[in-house]
Amino acid sequence: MTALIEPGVGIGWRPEICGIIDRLDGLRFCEVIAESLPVRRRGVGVPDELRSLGVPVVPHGISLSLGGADGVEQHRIDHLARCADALGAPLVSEHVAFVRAGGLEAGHLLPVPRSAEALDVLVRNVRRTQECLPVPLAVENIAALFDWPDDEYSEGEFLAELVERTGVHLLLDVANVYANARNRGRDAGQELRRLPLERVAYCHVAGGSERDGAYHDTHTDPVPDGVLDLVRQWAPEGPPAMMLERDGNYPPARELFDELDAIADAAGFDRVTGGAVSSLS
Amino acid sequence: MYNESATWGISSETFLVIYVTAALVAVGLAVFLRSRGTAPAPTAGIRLDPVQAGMLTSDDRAVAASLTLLRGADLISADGTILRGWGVADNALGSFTRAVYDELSSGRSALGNLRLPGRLQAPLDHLRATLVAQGLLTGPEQKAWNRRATLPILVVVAIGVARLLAGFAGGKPIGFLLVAVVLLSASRELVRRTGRRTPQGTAELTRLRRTHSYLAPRMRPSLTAYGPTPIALSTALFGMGAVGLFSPGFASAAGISDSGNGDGGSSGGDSSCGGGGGCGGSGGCGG
Repeated sequence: MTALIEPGVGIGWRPEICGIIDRLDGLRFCEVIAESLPVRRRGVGVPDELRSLGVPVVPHGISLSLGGADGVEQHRIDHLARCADALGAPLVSEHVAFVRAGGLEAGHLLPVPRSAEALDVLVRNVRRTQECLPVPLAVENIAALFDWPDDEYSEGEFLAELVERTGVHLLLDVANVYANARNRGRDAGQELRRLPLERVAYCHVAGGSERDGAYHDTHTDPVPDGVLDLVRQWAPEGPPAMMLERDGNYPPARELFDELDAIADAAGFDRVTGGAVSSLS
Repeated sequence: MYNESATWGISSETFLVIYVTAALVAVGLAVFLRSRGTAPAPTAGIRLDPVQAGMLTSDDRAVAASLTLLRGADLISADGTILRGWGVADNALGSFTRAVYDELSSGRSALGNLRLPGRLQAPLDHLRATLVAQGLLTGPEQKAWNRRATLPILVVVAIGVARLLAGFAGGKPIGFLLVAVVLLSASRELVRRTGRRTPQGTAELTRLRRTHSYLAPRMRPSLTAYGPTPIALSTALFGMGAVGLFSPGFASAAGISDSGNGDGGSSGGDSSCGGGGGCGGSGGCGG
């Protein structure tokens, strides 16, 4: 199967650091938050700073609510489709989560109960979204601090069943695998191997921190060694494309480059920061 | 053609036709001469620092860029209070920024004091002279040249005034000629006007804004990621919007008549944790 994104290192494109991302000559791909692209009369607006990168860009949705029992809203699917068209994206990604119910916006990605009933809802929503998108869809595992009491599947079984019934790809958030395993006292490596890794289109790698006895996947802290260890364990098998997901509390450019290099080294990919590092000196 | 009863023996209509023609020729000649003005050849490979880049827009903008550098180096607080002494390493901020620091530390000027640029006249003059020598800002020579270029217009205006006086004294109608003289005088002001920047200076400012568009406030550039010097360049090119993102009090206090073409506001795309549903698993961004 041809990879939707060639293996290599990417980064989540954020306007706050786009001048630094622009220096990464070897960057293989980017991801942009779909809801951050403004709606225009025709399609969506793509910032020049993003378009000029000249690398594949994946629109990443955060508000579709694929796990919502209310069903997905057509205008949100349409926006994702317009983003994919405007960016010439190889695929679109979203979350295995719900963000609203009964007209209330949660403001967070909430975990779907891993039950047969919830799986049916998810399958229905994913299929409907796939039908309306011009490119393949990948869905992402999220981090959750709790499990629903009516869970019937493990996360691996749940995602495998979803993939089996919809043909959807996975966006594997390695940091979320780490966070969920750590908070439940499980072995993250074993949890990773239980997932349908053959369907992973690309991966998120992000940082987090421990607070009040729980590890939080903040995206505003450095990537911990535990997350990189998971990537290292996967490296001999030839992992898919990996990207750094940093959403705030941005460190100096050099530290960002160090994080990208650490991901590249852990995954066995070429570093993407060569020219960028020399531009700092 | 000679008309004894007319002023200077030329009828009003004939004179007006001749006068308007002469006025148009004079304006054309003045514009031509003005364009031949000799600005210094632009220096190749110029790399402007944030203060110099701010100077392309206005004196205030240069001071604002300097204040941003001082704030970024933790030399001054958000309200302009001196936080620490000037060290050797701070010399990298440049002599103009040193002058701004000295002015603030003297206690004579407060942050955001409208007279701050006035008190910095000598350093500003020096800064301006540097950019004039680089062919980016217009200098006194170009102003004088532009003034001299309008001499043809001045001659025609003088003839018109003389005819007006003679006609008025002879009780002749002078209304149309008066309008023509007024319009010609106004055109002289337009031709004489000298902009702040040379065409090369405007091109350089446009280039800087384009190549550093990622520093525009709408992009919400990260101070910690870029460091203080690029944020000072953001101030220089786009105003204090980017500074306001991390130090709103400082931005408003130091926003000394922050005029000029800016890119104010902080709109633009949401970051990752935006949009409808928001992002994040339980307790943070878990997406």
